[in-house]
Amino acid sequence: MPKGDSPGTNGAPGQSLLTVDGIETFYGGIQALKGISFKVPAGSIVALLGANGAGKSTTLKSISGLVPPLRGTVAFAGRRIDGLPSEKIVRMGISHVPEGRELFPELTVLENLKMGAYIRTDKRETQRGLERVQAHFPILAERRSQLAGTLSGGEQQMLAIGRAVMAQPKLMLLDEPSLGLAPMLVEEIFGIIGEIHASGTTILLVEQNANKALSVADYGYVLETGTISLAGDSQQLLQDDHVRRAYLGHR
Amino acid sequence: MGMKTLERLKGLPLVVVGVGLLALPSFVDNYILYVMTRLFVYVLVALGLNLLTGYTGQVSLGHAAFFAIGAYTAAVLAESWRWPSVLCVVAAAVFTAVVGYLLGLPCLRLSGLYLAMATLGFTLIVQEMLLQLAVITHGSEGMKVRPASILGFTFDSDYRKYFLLLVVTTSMLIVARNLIRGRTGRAFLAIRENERAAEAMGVNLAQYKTIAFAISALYTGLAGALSAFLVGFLDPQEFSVFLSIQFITIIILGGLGSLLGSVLGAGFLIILPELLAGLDVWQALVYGLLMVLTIIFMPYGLSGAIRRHAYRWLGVGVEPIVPRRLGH
Repeated sequence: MPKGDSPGTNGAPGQSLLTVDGIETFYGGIQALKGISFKVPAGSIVALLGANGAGKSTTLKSISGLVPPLRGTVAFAGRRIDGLPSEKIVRMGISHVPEGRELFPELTVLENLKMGAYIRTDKRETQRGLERVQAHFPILAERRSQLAGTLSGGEQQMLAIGRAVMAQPKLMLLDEPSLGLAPMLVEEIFGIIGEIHASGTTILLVEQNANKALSVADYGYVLETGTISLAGDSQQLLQDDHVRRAYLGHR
Repeated sequence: MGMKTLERLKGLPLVVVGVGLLALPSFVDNYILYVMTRLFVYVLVALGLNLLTGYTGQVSLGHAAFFAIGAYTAAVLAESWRWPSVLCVVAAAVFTAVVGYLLGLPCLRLSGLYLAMATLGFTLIVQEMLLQLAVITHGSEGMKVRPASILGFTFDSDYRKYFLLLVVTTSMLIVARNLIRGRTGRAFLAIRENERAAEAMGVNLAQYKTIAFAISALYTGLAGALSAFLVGFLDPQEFSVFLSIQFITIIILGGLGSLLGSVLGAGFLIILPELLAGLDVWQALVYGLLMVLTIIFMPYGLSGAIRRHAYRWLGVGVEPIVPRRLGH
């Protein structure tokens, strides 16, 4: 498959919700992304795979505005969003669950969730969102008045995802949701990602656990040192020799 | 005893304190009323500083300057311009808020110790200006201020001053409570906890940080203006960096990010020295020792200790995990 080919052009269902075109992102003088292009069709789950330092997290940060790209464009629902502050981007419907969760440690679980709905001014909406999140994550309902900093790693990850759900995003950016979690918890988290997707949220997923990611995703992109080296639908990638050797642990 | 009974009893301490404060003037002498009035002034400052430092996480050693700006603005408007007292106080508070907003702008990129340094510099500059702009401030001579009056009613006795400050401080306490329970308060807390995450939730960092500076300065300027009328004399030497440190001490001892802490901390700093006055030469030593012991055994401040014990023994509230940090 040619470099940077997007599944959107391969007759994918749904229109492109997010279109990333040739973005180049720098940390100081170091170029982390060297021209990345891909599309996320509405209603899909798209996985970004790759080794450490390939630029997966940077790609998400470039989309959500935490580290704006220097060149290239990001379009969301037909509007350009590159260069906007992240506070504006979240209001347009993109929620980012960053690597390392970035919770509010000294606020309670409930307060953390309510912060997720900060951009929502309708109180009843917020309440409904809260009920939805607590249905996805019963443990968060149980721990509602506990400080976020006292939760276990898995619970913190659930809270981070739950908080993003509270914003009722059209697109959720998930960065390494399985990082540091026990296999059973990984299963649980991916189950919930499936539920969130089923309720109508498009998901862009960054994972080191390529097997797991491709098993839920519709499409996958493989990043290597700041460029996309491979793209295709998940089944294709799961069969691809290079992917199998490099990322799925097959010899 | 069930949760419900506890919930119902929650307002009881407030009622007791309220009745006590209203009845106090009938039982005590003028000196105690004067001390209490000073306490209210410090509570106002502590509320303002806690909103900025305790809730929003922005350290300030500039609050002596805000206090001075409020005091001098009110004094100049009253003495040189002959404005009515109410207008003097309101104008002084608003003017100080504007100064706070403007100081907040260049401070947006600073945090922690660097912000402390910048605001410390602000205190030094303002104090120097009080001395140098003698045309307006009367320089090192200081300024006399006549008692405030509203529609012919003059706040010239300790009794009247006490009630004036009791009403203003209580009102501003309620305002602060509503503020922190609302959207603004949630934005403040989110900024303190994690700036990047706050922004990712849709909080406009620059906007809310400068708002925090402005509101904090408003409280402090209001306290300064009232203090000018209460004390009746402004001495520029008073508005030094040491005063800023006193303010910070109040909220750390009382409890960062706690309104109750602002009140308790001010009580510690103002009332305790009075109680220890009988110790004569040992006063400073015992006072210092109590301060050290308080911060060692109550790392969350007085209000944190109360909250912790309420959680441990009564099962109400949330157990704190780590001490509120001053910038990070």
